Amino acid sequence: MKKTLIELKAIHKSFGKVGILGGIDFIATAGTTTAITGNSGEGKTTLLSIMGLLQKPTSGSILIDGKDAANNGIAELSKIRAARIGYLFQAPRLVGSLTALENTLVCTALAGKSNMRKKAVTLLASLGMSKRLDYKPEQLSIGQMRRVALARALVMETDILLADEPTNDLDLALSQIVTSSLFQAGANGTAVVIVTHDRSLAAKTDCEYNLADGILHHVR
Amino acid sequence: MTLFHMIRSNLLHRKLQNSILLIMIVIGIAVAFAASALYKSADAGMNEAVKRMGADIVIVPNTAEVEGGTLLYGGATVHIYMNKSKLDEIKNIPGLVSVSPQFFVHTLSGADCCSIDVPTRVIGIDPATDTYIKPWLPESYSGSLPESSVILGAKNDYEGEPQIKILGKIFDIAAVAKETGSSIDYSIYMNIDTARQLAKDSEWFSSIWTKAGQPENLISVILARVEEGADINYINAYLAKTGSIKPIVAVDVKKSIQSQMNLLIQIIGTICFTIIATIILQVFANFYLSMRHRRSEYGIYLAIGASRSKIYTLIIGEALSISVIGGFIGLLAGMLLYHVSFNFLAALRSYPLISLSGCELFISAVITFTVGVLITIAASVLPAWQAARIDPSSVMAKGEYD
Repeated sequence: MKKTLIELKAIHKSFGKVGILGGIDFIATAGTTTAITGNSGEGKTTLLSIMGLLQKPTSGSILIDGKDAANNGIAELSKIRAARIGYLFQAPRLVGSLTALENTLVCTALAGKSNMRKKAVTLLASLGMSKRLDYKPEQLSIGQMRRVALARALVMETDILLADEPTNDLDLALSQIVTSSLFQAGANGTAVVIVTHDRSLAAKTDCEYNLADGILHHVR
Repeated sequence: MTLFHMIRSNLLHRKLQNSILLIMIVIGIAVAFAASALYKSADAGMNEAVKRMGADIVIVPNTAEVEGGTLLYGGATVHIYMNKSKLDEIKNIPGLVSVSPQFFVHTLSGADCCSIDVPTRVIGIDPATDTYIKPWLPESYSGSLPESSVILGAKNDYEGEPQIKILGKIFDIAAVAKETGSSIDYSIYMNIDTARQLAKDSEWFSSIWTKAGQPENLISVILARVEEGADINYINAYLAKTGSIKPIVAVDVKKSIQSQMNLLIQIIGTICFTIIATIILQVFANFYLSMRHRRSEYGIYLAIGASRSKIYTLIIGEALSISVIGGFIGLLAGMLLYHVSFNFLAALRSYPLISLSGCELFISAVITFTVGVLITIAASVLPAWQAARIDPSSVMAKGEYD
């Protein structure tokens, strides 16, 4: 039986009087890729950010390795995020002052891990970025920035990887590079959760949910 | 990659913004250092001048149109003479402890008669009664002043040479006086009889003696010391009765100079305070605006696992780096500014200024540097505090709930 890495129990989230999530139960296990689909405005990104400990739910529990992290302090949440969770945001969200290689390594610097340069270079090379290592984000195309953001999400080999619309606005070739990297991470034992509108991507995952009216429906 | 690399990359990325910040810090540190050092120089100069007051009353001919401050602190050459018989008239006035005559002559510029090419006051003193130059002489100095010897003020650019040529005659340099911050620093002292003979023999001054009389019968000023507790007003009244002379009370001159100096210090202090306060506000504003501008960047760091302490380290690290670099450059600029200002004020020769020792400058530099760095760090603390509290989930959203 696969190890449960994230478990959400009865997650509610509202902003003021507006309810976004109305009791979400969800499990992500090691080595599994999971897709969450749904219409725009249903709260997929909010759900992903709660899963990634970036914001707290109004109520409910977030269990990481069986321990409730919802009420952890900020310092503890930072530690979990740095060590356990990789993020691929909707926008590349690179740091303008850092090069492609430095952007890839930024997580390792913040986590206090050194000697990761070789790995980052290999990773960027596998994404076709070997000639752009010293380029700043302003010198990169959107596709190249996305690849750097993907490398940043993968370099720490975290056991949870959260991807928000990873293939949005990408051409087919680049979309395939990103998709195969995410599935490779899943094959290596990472729990990969992908929020997407892309039906073909969702169809390739091990498990699919649909978020509608604040409730997560199991599709397959 | 380390946090240090991130700090360096961030600093280099915003070259213009950080250069402006650096320049502001350099100006702030330079002004603060130069102003504090200048204040200390003036304070030390005034204290020394009061402590080693060579005369209580300076008696000049009543025809002399010269300010007391110019005589005591100014090094400008003056031609004032009276008959030496005045000394005998004055020395028995009740309340005076001692009197000592001086005879003024000077070197000439643009002539090969003199080693020093700027007109420099040469003062003939009576070594037996002098109390003016004596307190400033090195302890090793024997006290005698033979005809062939002179004493140099501390700031005559003629140090290290054994002899000096004055009005065509070669003299041995017997001693160099300690720095006083006054006209003593720019004057040359010799035996009064030698000075008179030198003046008499020099063709450049012959027209003066035609009017004033022969130098051997002349003196320029009389420096008088007053008995402790004696009434200076009473002595002044007595001096006035002797006629053709004018007493200048040194304490009054020093008080007047001190009050002028205080005013000068207040003006300079106010200007410096305004500059430094403006710079501090600019530095605070710069860090605050930079943080506002970089909210997204800090949000990314927090989202991918940076702790608040790492955000503090990044922001305060940037502030520390800029302040340390700015501090060092500022101190060098401040040192230059101090020397330029010091030399400018010293050239006016209206204020007693003493240049600070290397140790004093070092202490002043350390204090200015530390305060400068602490202020810059303080300016970055509030932005760092705010940046560390940015909601990390903000990087997920694009303005909508997706």
